[in-house]
Amino acid sequence: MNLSVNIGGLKLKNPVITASGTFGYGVEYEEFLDLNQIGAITVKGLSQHPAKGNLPGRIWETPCGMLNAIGLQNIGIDAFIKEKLPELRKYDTKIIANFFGDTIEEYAEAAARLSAAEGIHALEMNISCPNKQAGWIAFGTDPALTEKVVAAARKATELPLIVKLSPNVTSIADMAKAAVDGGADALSVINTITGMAIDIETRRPRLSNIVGGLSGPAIRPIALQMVFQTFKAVKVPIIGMGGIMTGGDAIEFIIAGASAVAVGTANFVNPAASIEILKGIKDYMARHQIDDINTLTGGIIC
Amino acid sequence: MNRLFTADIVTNEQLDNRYFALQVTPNVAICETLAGQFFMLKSGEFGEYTDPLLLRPFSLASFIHPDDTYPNGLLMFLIDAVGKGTNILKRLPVGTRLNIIGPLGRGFPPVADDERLLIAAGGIGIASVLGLNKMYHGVPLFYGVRSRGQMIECTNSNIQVASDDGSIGDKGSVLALLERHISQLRQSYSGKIKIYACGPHGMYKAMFKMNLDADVYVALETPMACGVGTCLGCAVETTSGLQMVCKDGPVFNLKDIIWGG
Ligand SMILES: Cc1cc2nc3c(=O)[nH]c(=O)nc-3n(C[C@H](O)[C@H](O)[C@H](O)COP(=O)(O)OP(=O)(O)OC[C@H]3O[C@@H](n4cnc5c(N)ncnc54)[C@H](O)[C@@H]3O)c2cc1C
Ligand SMILES: Cc1cc2nc3c(=O)[nH]c(=O)nc-3n(C[C@H](O)[C@H](O)[C@H](O)COP(=O)(O)O)c2cc1C
Repeated sequence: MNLSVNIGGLKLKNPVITASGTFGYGVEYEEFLDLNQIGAITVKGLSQHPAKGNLPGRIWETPCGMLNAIGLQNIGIDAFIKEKLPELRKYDTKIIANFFGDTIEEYAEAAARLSAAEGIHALEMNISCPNKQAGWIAFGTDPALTEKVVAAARKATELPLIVKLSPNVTSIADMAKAAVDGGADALSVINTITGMAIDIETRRPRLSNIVGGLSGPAIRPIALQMVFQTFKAVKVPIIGMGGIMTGGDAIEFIIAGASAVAVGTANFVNPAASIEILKGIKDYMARHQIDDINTLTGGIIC
Repeated sequence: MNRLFTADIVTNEQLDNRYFALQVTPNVAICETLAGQFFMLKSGEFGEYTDPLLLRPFSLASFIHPDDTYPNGLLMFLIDAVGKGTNILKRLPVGTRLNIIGPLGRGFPPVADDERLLIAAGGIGIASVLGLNKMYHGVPLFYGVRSRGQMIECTNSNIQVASDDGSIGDKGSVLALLERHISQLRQSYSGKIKIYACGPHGMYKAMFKMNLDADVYVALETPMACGVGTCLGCAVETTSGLQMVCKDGPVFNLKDIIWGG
C-alpha cells in the first residue's frame, strides 16, 4: 500500500498533516502520539516579530464547530528557529512553517528567513486569516494582490511554497489561479470561515474581536466544495482541510481533489486524532483495494 | 503514565436539580494530580459526537487511590449542569466510557510551614478545593452557597458557611466571614496568610477590591478548546501580559490578574 504523496516538491510518507494553529509548535503533542507517524506538522503561524494576538474572549463553541479570534499570537520566527526547531528535528516527519506578514516586504523577508533555517521542509503562506484588519484581508481576497504577494514570497524561497486560501471569497477558483500564477507549488484549502456569536443577555459579542473564524465539522461541506472547485481550476496539489474528524472525512476530501489532508480542530477534541485518521485512511484503502492513495485524488464519480 | 485515557463511569449521582457527582475509573494508571488541576472530559468516542464538539474542563474533586476493585483508582468530579455538555454528562449511565485528557494545568502552590492557609469556595467552586480540604486537614474553610440544597457535604470541623437566602449559615456573602476571620487572626498572628479560593468570577473581583491582608490564589475558568496550551484560546490578561489559563493556570495570584471594570 503506497501512502506517500508529493505536495509540490514536498515528499510526505503519508497524506496526514496537522493544521496550523491547532498543533502548537508540534512538540507540545509528543506525549500524546508518535510524531514520527504523521506525514507533516504545520506549526502555528509565524511572523518576523513575536505577536501578542487579540484580547481575551478568543474562542467560542458553536454547533459542531468553534469560533476563534486568536489574532495570530506567536513567538516570532527567531524564537521558533532557536527554541522549537531543534526539538522538531529529532522527529522523522516533515515540518511546514506557516507564516504571515503585514506587508509584501514582510512576507518576502519572513519567507527568506525561514528558508535559511535547517529543518524546515516547506512554507505555508497564510493570506487568509479572518481576524486581521480590512487592509490585510485583501491579500487573500483580491486576486491581483494575492498574485503580487505570492510572487514576492516565491522569489524569496527555494522551498516548496504552499499558499493557504481564504474561503471568504466569491470565487475560490479565481483565488487559486492567482496564487498559482504568483508561483504557488501547492494550495491549502481552506482557512476558517468568518463568523460571529452574541451573548443575548448582555448583547455583547462572544469574541473580543467581534468576528472570528469558524472551524470544525460545521464547515466540512463548504470546505469540501471549495477543494472540488479548486481541483477543477488548477493543476497544483491541494491540501484539503476543514472539519476533518475521521478517516472517512479525509477520504471524502481526497476524492474531491485533495492530495493530502490537514487535521485542525479535531486535535483539540482528541490530541491523537491525526493517527486515528491515518488508520481510517488505511482501512478504507484496504477495504476498496486501493494500492496507491494518489489514484484516489479527484476520483469523484459524477 | 498517560494523560490521554479512557475511563468508565462507576457512579453518576444526582445531588440536587443541578449538581451531580460523577465517579469514573480510568483504564490505565494515571499521573498524580495536585489540588487545583483539572481534566477535560468528553462523552463517547473521540470524533463520534460532534455536538457538543469540544471537551469540557472540570477540576478533580477527589481521587480514591487504586485498590483491588479499581486498580487505577477513582476520579470524582462535582459538576453543575449549566448547559449542553454538562446536561449530557448528567444523564450518562453507569458503564459509559469517557475520553479524558489530564491532569492539566498547575495546581495550588504548596504551603510553607510558617504560613497559615485559609480556603474559600463559592458554589460549585468547592470542587476545586475539596482536595485541599483533605490535604490540609482542619484548615478553616469558608463556603458560600445559594441555599442549603446546593451545599456539598465536606468533612471539616472548621467550616463557616454563608448562603444567599440564609437557609444555612450566615445570610449574605461568605467573604464577610472570611474578612472577619482574618482580622481576628491578625490580633495574634502577624505572619503570612494564604487564601486558596475557587468560585465565580464575581467573587474574585470582590476579593480583589477588598484588598485582603493575605496572599490570595484563585482558580480561573475560561472557555477552552485544547486544554494543553496550543490553541491559545483561554488567554487571560495579567500584569505580565497574556497568559493561558489551561497551562499557566488555572491557579493564579489574585493580584497578577487584570480584573478590569
Ligand atoms: C479549569 C476549569 C475547571 C472547572 N471545574 C469545574 C468543576 O469542577 N465543576 C463544574 O461544574 N464546572 C467546572 N468548570 C466549568 C465547566 O467547564 C463549564 O461549566 C462547562 O464547560 C459548561 O459546559 P456546558 O456545555 O454545560 O455549557 P454551555 O454554556 O453550553 O457551554 C458553551 C461553551 O462555553 C464553555 N463554557 C461555558 N461556561 C464555562 C465555564 N464556566 N468555564 C469554562 N468554559 C465554559 C463550554 O466549555 C462550551 O465550550 C471548570 C472550568 C475550568 C476552565
Ligand atoms: C484556534 C485556531 C488557530 C488557528 N491558527 C491558524 C494560523 O495561525 N495560521 C493558519 O494559517 N491557520 C490557522 N488556523 C486555521 C486552521 O489551520 C484550519 O485551516 C481551519 O481551522 C480549518 O480546519 P479544521 O476545521 O480542521 O480546524 C487556526 C484554526 C484554529 C481553530
